Amino acid sequence: MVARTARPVPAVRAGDVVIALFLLAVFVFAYLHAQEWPFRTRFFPELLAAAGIAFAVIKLAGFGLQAYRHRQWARQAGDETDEQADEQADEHSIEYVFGTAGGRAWLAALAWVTVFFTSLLVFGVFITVPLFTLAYLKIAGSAGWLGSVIYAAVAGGLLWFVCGELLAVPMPAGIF
Amino acid sequence: MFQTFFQSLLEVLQPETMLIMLAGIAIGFVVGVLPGLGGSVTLALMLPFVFDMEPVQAFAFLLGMWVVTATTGDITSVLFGVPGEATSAATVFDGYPMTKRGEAGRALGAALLSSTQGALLGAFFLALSVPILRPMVLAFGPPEFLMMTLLGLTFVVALSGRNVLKGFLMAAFGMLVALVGIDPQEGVPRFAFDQLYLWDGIDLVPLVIGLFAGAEVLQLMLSKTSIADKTMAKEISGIGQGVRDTFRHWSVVVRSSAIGIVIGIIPGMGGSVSQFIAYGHAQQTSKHPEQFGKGSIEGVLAAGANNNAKDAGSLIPTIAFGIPGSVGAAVLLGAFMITGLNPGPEMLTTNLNVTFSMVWIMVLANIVAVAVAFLLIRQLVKLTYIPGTWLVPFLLILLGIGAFTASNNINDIFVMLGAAVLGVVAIHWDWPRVPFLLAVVLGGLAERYLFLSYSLHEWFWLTKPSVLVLAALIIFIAVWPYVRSARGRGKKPVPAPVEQPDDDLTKVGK
Repeated sequence: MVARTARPVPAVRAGDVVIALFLLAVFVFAYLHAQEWPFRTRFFPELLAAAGIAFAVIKLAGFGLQAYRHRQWARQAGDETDEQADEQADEHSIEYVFGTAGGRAWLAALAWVTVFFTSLLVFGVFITVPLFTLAYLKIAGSAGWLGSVIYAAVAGGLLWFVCGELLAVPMPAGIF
Repeated sequence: MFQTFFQSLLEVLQPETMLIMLAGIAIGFVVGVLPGLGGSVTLALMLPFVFDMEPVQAFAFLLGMWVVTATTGDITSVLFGVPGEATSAATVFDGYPMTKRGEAGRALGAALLSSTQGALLGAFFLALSVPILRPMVLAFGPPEFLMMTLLGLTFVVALSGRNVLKGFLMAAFGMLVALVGIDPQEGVPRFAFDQLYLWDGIDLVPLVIGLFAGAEVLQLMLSKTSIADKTMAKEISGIGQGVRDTFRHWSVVVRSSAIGIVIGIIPGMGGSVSQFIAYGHAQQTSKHPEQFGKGSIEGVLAAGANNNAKDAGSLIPTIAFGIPGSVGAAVLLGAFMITGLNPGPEMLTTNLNVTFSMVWIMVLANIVAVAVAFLLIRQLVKLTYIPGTWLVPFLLILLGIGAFTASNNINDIFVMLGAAVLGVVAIHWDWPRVPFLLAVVLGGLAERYLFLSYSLHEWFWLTKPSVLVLAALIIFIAVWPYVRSARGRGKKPVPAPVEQPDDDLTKVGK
C-alpha cells in the first residue's frame, strides 16, 4: 500500500507578514487619526479603516494557519521537498530579476535613481538630462564617448526644443 | 438628417480642414507617445490656436489631436511599460509582458486595431445616440452613480487573481490614498499632515507612472538587458497575428467598447475607471483568466478598444447637454465657447452639421493615425531590442517629466517615487497592484456619491429600482467567478497537458 502524500503547503514568506503588519498599522493609524474629525469627515475613512483592519487581521490569521499547516506538511513530507514547492520562474520576468539581483546591483541601480532625481530637483531638467545621460552611458553602460555624447546632446536638445520652446511645458527648473 | 450627415463629411474633406486635422493628428501622435503629457493638457495648450478658425476646422484640429492621443498612448504602454496616458494604464498589464516575451508586434497590432475599432464603434454610437440617450442620462442621480462606482470596485475580486484578500487589502489602502486632501463635506484636510501639497489630494498620473513604469525601469537597470529578448521574438508575423486577434476576439472588442461608451457618457466617472471595468470584465469572461496580467491578448484588446470608445461616449453629454463626460471633454467645451457654439439642443438642430463632422473627424483621425502607426510598427518594435542601459536615461526622463507635468509640482515626483517603491514591493511579494489603482480612482467618487445620495434621499435611495437592479448586477459579478470555478470543478477532470520542452518559450500565453 502506497502512503498518501499530503498536498504541499508553501511556507509563509516574511515579506508577506511584514506588508500585512504595515498595512494593519496604516489602517489602525487612519482609524485613530480620523477620530479627530467631525462625523461627516470621518465617516468614510473610519468605515474604510475598520474594513482594512478586519482584512489585515484575517490575512495575518491566515498566515498563522498557513505556517502551522506548512510545519505539519514539512514534518510529514521531509525537508527536501520544501524547495520543490517553489514555482519555476521565467528568468526574463520582473519577479525573477528582483528576486535574484545581487546586493551590489540593487545598490548601483538605486544610487543612479537617487543621483538622477536629486540632480533633477537641484539643477533642473535641462542640466540633468544631458549630464546624467552621458554619465550613465559611460559608467553603467560602458558605451563609447561618441555614442554617449550624441545621445546626451540629442536628448537634452530635443527636450529643450520640444518641451521647453515648442510646447512651453513647465519643467522642473531646479533650485539654482 | 442623412443629407446633413454626408454633407458634414464633405466639410471635413475640404483641403484646408484636412490639413488642419493632419496637423492635429501629428501633435496628438507625439503627445500620446510621450508619457505624462496628457491629451487634456495638450488640448488646453492648443485652445488659443483655434480662435480664428471655423467651428469644423477647430474641431478637426482639437478633436483630431485628442482622439489620436488615446490611440498612440498605447504604444509606450506596450513597448516600455510606461503609460502614455493615465487612461492607457490597463494596456500595460498585458501589453508589456507580451513585449518582454518578444510579441511586441502582436500586442501593438492588437492594441492599435482594437483602438480604431473602439473609436469607430464609439463614433457610430455618437451619431445614433444623442436623442435616444438623453432621458437615460438625465434619470441618473447620485445613487446610480454610487452603484456604478461600487460596480467598478467589484472588479477587485477579478483583478486580484488568486490573492483575493491581498486584493481587498490593497484596495482598502488605495481608497485611503484617494481620501487624502480636503474633505468635500466639511472642508477639513484629511491625512494631509500639514502639507499644503496634499490638500489637493494625490494625482493619479504620478501614481500610475511610479507603480507600473518605475518598477520596470528598475528591472532594466538591474538586468541591463533589452526589454525583449531577440531570441524569443516572433518578428513581423506578430503584427498580422495581432490584427487577426482583434477579429478572433471580436466580442471582447465590442463589449469593452460598449463599456467605454456607457461609462464615457456618465459625467464624472472618467476614462481611468472605464478601462479597469472593461479589463476586469474581460478577465472575468475569459476562458483563460489566469493569463491576465501575464500577457493576455484579450487584456490588450479590452484596454485598447475601451480607451478610444470612451472618448466618443464622453462627447455625447458634452454635445447634447453641455455636461462634459471627462476632463478632455471639459477642455473641449472651451472650444465650443471660442467658436461661438452652444452645446445643447442647437447642436442637434441648427449646428447638426458640426456634430456630425465630429463623428467623421473621430473616424478619419483614427484611421490616419493607425495607418501611420502600422507603417512605423517595425521600427517601433526594434526599440525593444535596444540594450537596457541605452533606454534607462530616456525612460528616467519620461518618468520624471511625466510625473511632474501632472500638476507642475515637484512633490509629484516624490509621489511617483513612493509609488515605484510600492510597485517594487508589490511585485516582489506578489501583492496585486491593480486593485490599489482601481480603488484610488474610485475611492473619492464613492464617498462623494454616498453623501450626495444620503443628503438627497436619506437611506431611501437604497430602495430605488435602478439601484436595486445595479445591486443585483454587482452581486452577480462578484459571485460569478466563484460559481464558474465551482462548475469547473464539477466537470470531468481534463488530462494534464504534456510537458513542453524548456526551450519552447514562444508558446507562453497562447
